[in-house]
This record gives sequence, C-alpha cells and structure tokens, in this order.
Amino acid sequence: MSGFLILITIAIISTLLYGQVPEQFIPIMNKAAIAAPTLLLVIHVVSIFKKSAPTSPEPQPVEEPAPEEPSAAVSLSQEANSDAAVVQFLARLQEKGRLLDFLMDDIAAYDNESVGAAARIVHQGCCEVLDESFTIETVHAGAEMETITLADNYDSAAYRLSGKVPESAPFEGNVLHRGWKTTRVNLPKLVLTADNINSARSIIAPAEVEIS
Amino acid sequence: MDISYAIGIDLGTSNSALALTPLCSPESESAPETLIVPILQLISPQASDTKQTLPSALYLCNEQEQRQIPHLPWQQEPAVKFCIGNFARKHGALQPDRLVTSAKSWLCTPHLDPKQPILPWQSTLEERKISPYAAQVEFLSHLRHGLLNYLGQKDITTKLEQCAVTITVPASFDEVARVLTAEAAEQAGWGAVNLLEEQQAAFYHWLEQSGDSWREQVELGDIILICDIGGGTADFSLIAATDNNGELQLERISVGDHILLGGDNMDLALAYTLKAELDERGKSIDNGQLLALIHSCCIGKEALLNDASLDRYPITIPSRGAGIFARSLSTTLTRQHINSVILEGFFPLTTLEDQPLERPRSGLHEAGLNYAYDPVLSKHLAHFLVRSRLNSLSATNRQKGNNGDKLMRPTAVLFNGGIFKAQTLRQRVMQLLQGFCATPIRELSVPDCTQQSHLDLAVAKGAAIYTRTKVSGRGVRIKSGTSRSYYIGIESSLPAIPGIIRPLRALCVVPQGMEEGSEYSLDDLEFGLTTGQAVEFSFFSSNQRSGDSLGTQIDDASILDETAKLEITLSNDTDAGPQTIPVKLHSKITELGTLELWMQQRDTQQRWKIEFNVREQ
Repeated sequence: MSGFLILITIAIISTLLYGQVPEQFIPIMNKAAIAAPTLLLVIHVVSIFKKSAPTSPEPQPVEEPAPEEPSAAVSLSQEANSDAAVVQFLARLQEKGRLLDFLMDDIAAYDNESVGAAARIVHQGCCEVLDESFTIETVHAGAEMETITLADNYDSAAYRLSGKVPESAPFEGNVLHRGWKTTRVNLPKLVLTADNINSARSIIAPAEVEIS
Repeated sequence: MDISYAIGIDLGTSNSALALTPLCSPESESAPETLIVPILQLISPQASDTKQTLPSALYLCNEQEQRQIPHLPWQQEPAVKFCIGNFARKHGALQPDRLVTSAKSWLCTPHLDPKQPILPWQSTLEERKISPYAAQVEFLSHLRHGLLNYLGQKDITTKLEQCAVTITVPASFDEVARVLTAEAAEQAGWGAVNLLEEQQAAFYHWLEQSGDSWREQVELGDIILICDIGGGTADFSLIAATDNNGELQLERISVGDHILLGGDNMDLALAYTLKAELDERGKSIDNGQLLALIHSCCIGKEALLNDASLDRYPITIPSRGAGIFARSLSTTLTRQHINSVILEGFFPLTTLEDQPLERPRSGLHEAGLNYAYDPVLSKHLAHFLVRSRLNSLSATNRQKGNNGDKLMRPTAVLFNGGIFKAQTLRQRVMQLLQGFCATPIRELSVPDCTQQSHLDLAVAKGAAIYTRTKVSGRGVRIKSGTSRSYYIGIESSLPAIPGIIRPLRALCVVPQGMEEGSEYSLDDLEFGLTTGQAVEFSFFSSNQRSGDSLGTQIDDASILDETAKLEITLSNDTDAGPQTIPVKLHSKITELGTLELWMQQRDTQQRWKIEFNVREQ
C-alpha cells in the first residue's frame, strides 16, 4: 500500500512537472501532491503504533534477549525491515530531491515561479533516485491515442479498461495513458542492527547541525 | 561452479571499478564476456547498495558514528573506524577534516613519503590521519571483499589465489608509485598482481570490442593517441603500429606527465562562474549550496553537451534549511557558459606554440598535490606531442624519422574517460589535433555506439582482458616496457673548488622500453660496498630520453626527475666483521611489471635487493 502511494506521489509530481496541466487544475494537483504522501505518512505512523504497541511490553520476561530467541528477533526485524525500507526510500527522495521539504511547506503561500523553481530540485533529485532503483518504461510501447486490441488473458493489472467494456475479448480501444512499469527493482539493502532499527524506521532526514 | 577468473582493477583517483572475465578454456572460440562487478558499499547510515564504481573516498567516522554506523557483511571489528565509497564521499563532502580523497595522486607526489599519515591533508585530527599508501590498501581491500561478496551471492566458488589479477596505474606513474601500488595490493590480500598502464587498458578494451575489425581500422605506420581524461586527471599515451616480420605490431612509444586536471575541474569552473553571477546579484551561497550547485552543473553540462538543440539548463540551488520555496536560488547554465568556460577555457583551439604556463617560482610554495597550474588541456596536449617528438628523436635508432617535425603526429585517436561521452568534446579535440598536425586524423570507432556510455568502465574491463590475454597467451599484446628510463646518482670525482657545488652525475641503469621479464647487468661499473652499513643512492627518472641505453652517463643529474632514494644494506654473514665486497648492479623488470634492482657479488653470485626509500627529503 505505502509503496503504491509513493508511486502515486511520484506520478502526481511528475505530471505537475512534465505534463501540460491546465492552469486551473494546478491547485488541485498540488493538493493531490500533498494528500498522497500525507496519507502515506498516516498509514505509516498507524502501522508503527500497531507494531510497537504489542511487541515491547508483553512478551517473554526479559532476561537476556540474546541468542535464545532467534525466531522472535527475526520476526520483529522482518516487520521492522519493511517499515524501514519505505522510510529509507522516502529518505533517499528527501536527501536527493528534497521531497519532504517540498510537500511539507505551505505551497499556497508562494507564487508559481517559486514553486516551479523548487520543483526543479525535486525533479532532478527524485529522477536520480528513480534511476538508481528502477528502470521505468511505459506499459504500452506505442503512442497515446493509438488504437490497440487486447486479446483474451491480457494482464488486467497492466491495462485498465473504461467506457463500454464488452463481456469478453477481444477488447479494442484507444490508449489514453500509456501506463508506467518498471523492469528492474533495486532498492537499497538496509543494514539494520538493534541499535539503528528505531531510527531507520522513523528518521527521514536528520537535523543538520553545522559546527564552526 | 568452480571457475578461475582474470580480474582487472581500475584503482582510480576518484572512482574505482573491478571487472571479471573467465580464464577461457583453450577450446572455446569466442572471447568470454567481461563484466563489471557491482561493489557493495554504504549509501546512507542505514543502507548499503551495490554500485558499478566505488568512489575512492574514505571518511573517518567520529566516535559516535563508530558505534552506530552499520557493518558491511565482511567487517568483523567492533567499531567501524572509517567507511569507503558512496556514503563516505557524500557524508564527508562537508567535513574536509575527515575525508580522504585523491589518495592515489599522493603516491607520486615528490618529496612526500606516501607511507606517512598525512591524509586528510591539513586535517586537524592529527591522530586519525592515515597515509596515502594505507588508503590505497583499504580501497583494494574493500574491492576484494566486494568481489568475494558478489561471488558468494552468485554461488560461485573460486579461489582468488588461482585468479590472475591486474591493477592499472597511470602511464605517468614512476617506479616508486608502481611498486607501492603492487605492495598495497599484496597487503590487501590480492597476492602478487600485474601492473598495466591505464591508457593501455583502455586500448585493450577497444581491441576486444572491435573484434577482428581492429586490423581494418589500424594500419602499418599509424600512431594512435590515447586521450584519457578522467574526473581528476588527464593522461596521454601514444601507440605505434609497426612491422614485426610482416605482422602488425602495437608498441607504446610515449607517455605523458601526470596532469591533475580533469572533468571535475570543469564542473567546478562552471559552478564558480554561476556563483560569481549570483554574487553580482547580491546573493551569496554557502559551501553546502556550492556542492549542490557543482552537482547540478555536472548534470547540466552533460545535458547541454549531449543535446545541441538545448540552449539553457535552469538550475535551482536548494536552501540549506527546509524552506525550499522561500529560500532557494535560481540560476541558469547556458550554452554560452559551456562555450566560454568548457570549450574556450579547457579546449581552446590553440597552436603548437602555446605551451602550458609553469607555476611561478616566486615565494613559498605550499606542499601538497601538484595540481596543474594551467587549466588549458589543449596546451597540455600540444606539450605532450612536442615532448614525444623530442623523446623519439633522442633515440638514435629512430633518427631516420627526423624530418624537422616539431611534434609527433598522431594519425588516430582513441578517447577514454567519462567526459568524452559528449560528442561535442570529442569533436573539439579532433579539431584541435587537426590544427596541430595539418594531416588527416581519424577517431577509432566502436562498433556498438551504446558502448560509448561505458567510457568510464573501459579501463577495468581492459585490465581484465589484458590479464586473460597474458595468462592464455592468445590475443594481441601491446609491446611496451618501462615508460621511463632510470638513473642512479654518482658523485663526480673532481677537485673541490670553494663556492661551487659539483653536479651529481647520473648513470642509466634501466633504459626506456625495458620489457617485462628482462634483466640487465651493469658490467662497466663495480661498487665496493661495506657489509653491515646502509648505503644510499639518489635515484632519477626521465620520460623523454628514449635514446639512453644501459650505462649512459649524464653529466648533470638535475635535468632528470628525482624519484626517490635507493637504500641497501649488505648483510654481514661472516664473523669477520665489516668487509668491503665488490658488487655489480643488476636491474630486472619482473614478469608482473615491477622494477627490481639488485647488487650481485662478482664471484659468489650472492645477491642483495635494493629497496626504494621514499622518506621525506
């Protein structure tokens, strides 16, 4: 779920940057750009609470949490790991593309020029992260508005049909949006230890302190 | 699977890479694939990832970080004292006191001992400093663990001891830097390694890519310029296609100086130009923002160089704080900048007479890396071609070629290094060379154009290919030998005259082009050395005296480059106390490409090895 939302966020932002969004829709898109990751954060925060609540107080009397319970340790780290993976991916987007700064700021207070300029930072940086971790291609290799025919057993996750859809194949229609897919997923491998797991699943960007 | 591999390591100034190719069985016809091994490294304090290159950056973690930064799979020690690679470079960029970079260039910096802890240069963390040599050991050790990790994940079992390994070094490295590199590899667990000049490695890579078609592209009499400009360094070499009993033979005939000037300088120049424009508008940026600006200039430069239709590349410099709408600064990198800063600044169409400016000799010169004083690469190239000509003229056996030419005229060019992904820059250099030579020059092409994008990995791959060629004995080899000639200093025996310092004479002990596996004995000169006492010799080199042969005497050694001191102590085996023993000097280039000097007793054939002594002078 959270992974999907991240992709939505990216899609919205890249539409903002790339696509010719009519002037009147820009505020809506901007709101969507804020809403999607906010939802993401909420889901995430909820899931942290869900997990952290039962695990800490209840189980086995704490003696020495060392090698006796490898299974418990593994299951905790698996859950924690998937959280941390999402947080750390967000961290990459913030570090290289200042995504959180972009989304957490009050966009209504600034003119399009300031927002557009900041969007370049987000675009350049998030593209680098995207290139690192994915190989992005369109689902449909042809152009938009091309007519295509989908045979029986087409992948319904890869094509979403709309309009007057008949009961069975062949389905013929115009491509409104070519879709996106990745042919490679290479997420950074988290190096998690008992010491850094909590920060890995919570800190998206460290506070920066300069010592002079 | 149990396979033996040929391994090539590009131990770069700013990035390193490692390539692997199977040592093919004799029956296989086509050349096996050469692949770059992705190296595991930290990319953030929580995450690691594999990357095709390992940035040659070493960050000294503070105490807190030593407890918290996670271990890579092979790190056993409780505290991680330092980390290497992507995260190290990024995290250390704003902490110059803790970041070691360009360690390689310190190996060949005269008058500084590469085994003394001097890096990070001018760091105030005295007790944490490490030596350039130790940093190289760490990079090589990381690459080795990275390779083992990769092989482990692919379920490939191989014994590294059975693999043949080649490490590339700049052609301009002197013997001391070469020996130190081989020694560092040994200490990092690689065993005995071959050494190969980077520019030759790039050429081996081209040969492999071209397959059999290289013989159509290279003809007898060709002189091929290898123009190699990396992130921080520029190196030039010449390879001649000569006739060897009717067979086309490739021979490396000239190498240039080590020029500390490369693609990073171009990004810096662009960033400082834009910074100056911002300053004029009354907007100042701090060091952190400057780093972001340099990075954007690098991306913008590539965009503008690769797309002629693009006129401008807008850049936004993010604020240090979170307010990126309110406090970011906008600027634009334009084609005008590219033309004036990159093309006219680094690659202007100069003439052969424009030679690089020398650093003014006045005043105190701060010790440190010997960065190129003149940023104009065109002039350095002209300088190289003129010097190559002088070098070839100094060889009497090539005298027949003397037709009054001032320069060595290349007939073909092979480009290497990341910046030459941009066709604009390749074209510019071709245009420049046409101007120098006034004769036709062609660019050696690669059949598959997409390969152009791998110009920054060609050296590692070429090194692996060379290793395979060397082990299997099949395939084309470039005839090379030592790129320099070497000399020992001898005190002149003249009557003392007050106020006059007698020049040190020099005696050639290794002529230029001495090949691997060969050995010379200096029969004309006998030394009487006393056992049990350390004896020191001055040691010199030159890359433009190809005419000198073994035993050639030079009246004044100051025209040569002083490389190091040589030191030898003859062991005192007998109880008879110190004795004076007559010995002769033997020079040998090992099969691996390193120079060894020995003293050999005339009668008993007993030998003592002479050590390089690189302590500060």
